[in-house]
Amino acid sequence: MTRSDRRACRTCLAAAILAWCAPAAAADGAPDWALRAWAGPEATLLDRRSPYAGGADLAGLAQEAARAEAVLRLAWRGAVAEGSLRATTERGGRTRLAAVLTELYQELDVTGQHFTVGKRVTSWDVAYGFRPLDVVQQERRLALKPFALEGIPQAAWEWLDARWALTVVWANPVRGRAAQPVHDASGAARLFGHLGPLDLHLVTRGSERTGLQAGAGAALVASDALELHGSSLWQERTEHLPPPARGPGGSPLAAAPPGPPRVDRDQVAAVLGFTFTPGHDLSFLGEAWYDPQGDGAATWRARRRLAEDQRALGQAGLAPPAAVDGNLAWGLMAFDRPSPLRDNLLLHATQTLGRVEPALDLLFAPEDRGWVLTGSAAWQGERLRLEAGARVMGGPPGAAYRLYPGWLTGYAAVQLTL
Amino acid sequence: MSRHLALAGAAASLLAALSLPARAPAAPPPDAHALLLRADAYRLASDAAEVETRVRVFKGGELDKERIYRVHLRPGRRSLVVSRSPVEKGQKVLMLGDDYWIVLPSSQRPVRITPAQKLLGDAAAGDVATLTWAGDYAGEVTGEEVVDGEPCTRLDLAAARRGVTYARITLFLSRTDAHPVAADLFLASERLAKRATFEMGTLAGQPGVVAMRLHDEIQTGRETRIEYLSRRAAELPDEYFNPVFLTRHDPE
Repeated sequence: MTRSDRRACRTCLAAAILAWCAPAAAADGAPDWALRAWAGPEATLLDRRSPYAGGADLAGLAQEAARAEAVLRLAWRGAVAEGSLRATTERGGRTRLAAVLTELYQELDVTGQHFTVGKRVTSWDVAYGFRPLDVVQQERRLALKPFALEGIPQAAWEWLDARWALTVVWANPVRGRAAQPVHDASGAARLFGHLGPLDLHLVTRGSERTGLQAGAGAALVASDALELHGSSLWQERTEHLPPPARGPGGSPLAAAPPGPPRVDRDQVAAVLGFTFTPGHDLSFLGEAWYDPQGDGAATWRARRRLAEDQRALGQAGLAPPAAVDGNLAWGLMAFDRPSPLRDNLLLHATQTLGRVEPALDLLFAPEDRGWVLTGSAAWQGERLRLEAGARVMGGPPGAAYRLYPGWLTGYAAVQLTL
Repeated sequence: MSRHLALAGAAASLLAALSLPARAPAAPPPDAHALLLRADAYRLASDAAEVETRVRVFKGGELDKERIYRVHLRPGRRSLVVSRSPVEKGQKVLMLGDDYWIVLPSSQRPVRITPAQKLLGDAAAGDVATLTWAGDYAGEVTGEEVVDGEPCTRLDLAAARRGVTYARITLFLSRTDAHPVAADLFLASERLAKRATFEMGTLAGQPGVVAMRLHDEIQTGRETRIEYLSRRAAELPDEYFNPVFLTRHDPE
């Protein structure tokens, strides 16, 4: 259990005591529970031609051989607890275990007001591949077989009528500025409106790190088969990975990890998309987005030149291998973002064929024509689910995704639900 | 996500079929619309209700899938379908007239879906349940036939609003009391998609449709049986029909 989990536990304990005393709590009933467990192998192939290949081991790329997770969810009288036990086995045989309290919260309905206290998942955006309005949750998307989402400690108040809903959230209360933005204390609000075929979302958030954020999103059912959605977020301050920098005298090697993030002001993130269901159990999703926290093609060209220079130093024996590999591993941090590039296009297609569902998605970066192609297939039984998939990255020489050393990742999983 | 949509959509579609009958009229109907109103009364409640439904899909006579749904019905074409089966546990589909949302436990946000998404996968087997014949179709009496030994009035119905799955229905109602006996469901392409038969019985002390059997005319050997396990008068509070509320609360 992490420090944040212990903090959430303390918060929820008080909330739970209150809830059991509250006359407005839900009616008595048996506790509800659900268990989901999955396990499967995973493998990543390294492209040794990538200039970043030398940093792969230090960055932990291609280390995982198998993963497993068991998620238990309990609910009773408005109290919900969800825990995840995770295991990751590395190629050398070492297994890492982690227990995460993903959710623990209490709902309170008092005199017509709705309150939530505890740790819970809070997603607000209307899009899928990129979600600028997820100002509270801030989870990465497009992951291959991800572990269960971990909620955010919060106190929330909600007001609703038939058409509108206003939610006010105090996220990570009393934490101040944390090491990661997602753990920062912040205040956020979301107004939702249902206006016939249109869903409207207005969102705002404030925190010490980012200042004010404000955004809007909408989902529109345009026809029986077509849904359109879009969202945009203005951010007073945005943290950005620093650009590639050389050491003294233009040396490609640095003696310390990249400096603090660069702060940009008045940035706007936006996504536009559609879902289309033409029949034959086919479904398509398309999205285009601009993420100001990604880099442009010129910055990626500079990153590539720096990585090639670092690798050349190592190959020539002019620098200690540890220094070269360490610098390359720092360089790989540029891939560890929701959008390594600013401009992105996503197309996702699935078809339901009885119990079998194949899916294919293509992420394309127009600036450098790099791409990420993911294919998967799943078989869904009554309690058992089998799935397997693979993701490959490519593009013309110099494209960001072509530079990534873990060019092919495959996985399989068997899942049991009780 | 389409798998979730398919499963939840299936549940949602079935819901209306499980509603309980209001009364069994005796006099012969004066016209098609009046006949349809009487037929709807055997399937759809006019008041708020909570209905437990079991959906079983058979392939080649063997049980392939079984799902349990709790359906909360409110007047004005408002309904909430909550999945109770392990594979879909926690999924909710909200239908407010022609507006639909799905709430998945993994995402905790209401996802706006189109009528076509609601009907993905198995849903097409039961979508007939979400419609009211009198409200969603215009029709005329076109003759009389004996169906399974029951003298019936035949009506030809054409879709009167957007979003209904079947463009045309041939409906057979008992000449005795206008209860539904069978229905042929046609796609916009004029292809016969399914044939529905209705089982009458008593639910909550009232005569009405207690089960519906949908024989797939396209995927041969496939049949869906929708059973209404229980029904009680119950009115879910208004806030449960706001999609945002559903992301944070489950009906008991």
